[in-house]
Amino acid sequence: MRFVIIFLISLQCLAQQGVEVTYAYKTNYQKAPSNKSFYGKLALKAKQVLPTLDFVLKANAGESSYQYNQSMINDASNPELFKMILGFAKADAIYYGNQPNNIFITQKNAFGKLYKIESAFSDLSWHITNMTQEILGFKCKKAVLRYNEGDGTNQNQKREIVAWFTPKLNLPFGPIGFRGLPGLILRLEYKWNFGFVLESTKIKRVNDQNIQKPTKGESIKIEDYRKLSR
Amino acid sequence: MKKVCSIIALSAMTLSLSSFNSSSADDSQERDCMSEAWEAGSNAEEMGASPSEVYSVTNFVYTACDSGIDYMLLMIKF
Repeated sequence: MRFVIIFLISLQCLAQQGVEVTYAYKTNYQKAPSNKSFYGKLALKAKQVLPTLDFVLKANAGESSYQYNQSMINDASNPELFKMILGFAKADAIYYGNQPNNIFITQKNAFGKLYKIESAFSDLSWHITNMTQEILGFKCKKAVLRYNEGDGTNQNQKREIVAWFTPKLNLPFGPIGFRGLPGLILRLEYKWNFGFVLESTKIKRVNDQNIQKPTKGESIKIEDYRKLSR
Repeated sequence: MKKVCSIIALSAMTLSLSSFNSSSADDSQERDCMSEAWEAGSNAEEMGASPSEVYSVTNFVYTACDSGIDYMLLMIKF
């Protein structure tokens, strides 16, 4: 009983102090990419490159940031090409969340310009199920979210997100901007033709976790950003 | 996709205006680049890429082609 109480107190401390979660990428392609098209070749290259990278979520009680671990890249031979490859892990952006202020910012170079795309932290409508699995020793619950990357007319732009979160770590954050669940997301399945899985490999406790809010780029509301592509 | 290509077409037009001494051989090169970029972008869109990814692909292919760079080779070397 004493052990259980100490364990629960230490989990509570973990949530208060802050964490750094490292995620590993694994491809989960539902279709074989065609070697003939440029985008197909990119998908094949992504399959090779992305599993060699780490993706890091930093979070404290109220804020989070997520991006790929830039220190792992010595010299990207072609930054534009590298950015497109990162797109296959949705890691061509920096994601910042602030739950107390209900703000979420995606800093991204899109349509030839650097943007800070602003949305509400509480924007996502998850469906939480009763399914569970254990990840890194934590019991995780399954939640599902569906959306379309485009205007809804292209069926191939449909995405299904499956998040496995642990209520034991009471931080409503996760990778690539998926958030708002009653616990930290330890595994994320991003399902589409060229989907992937991000699974946590390491959770580090960090004292005074300092989260940087993106400052560069033109601010744009998510609704206006969506109109840019139509 | 239409919007992506119109933005790139506009950039291409600006380039043409700024270098109006270009020969007819250059013009045909430019037309090829436009169609290559259009094809790459359309493929990406059909395969389910997001609108910003479609833009990046179209723009990358056009710029590389216009600079005489073999972008497929770049990918192999990456």
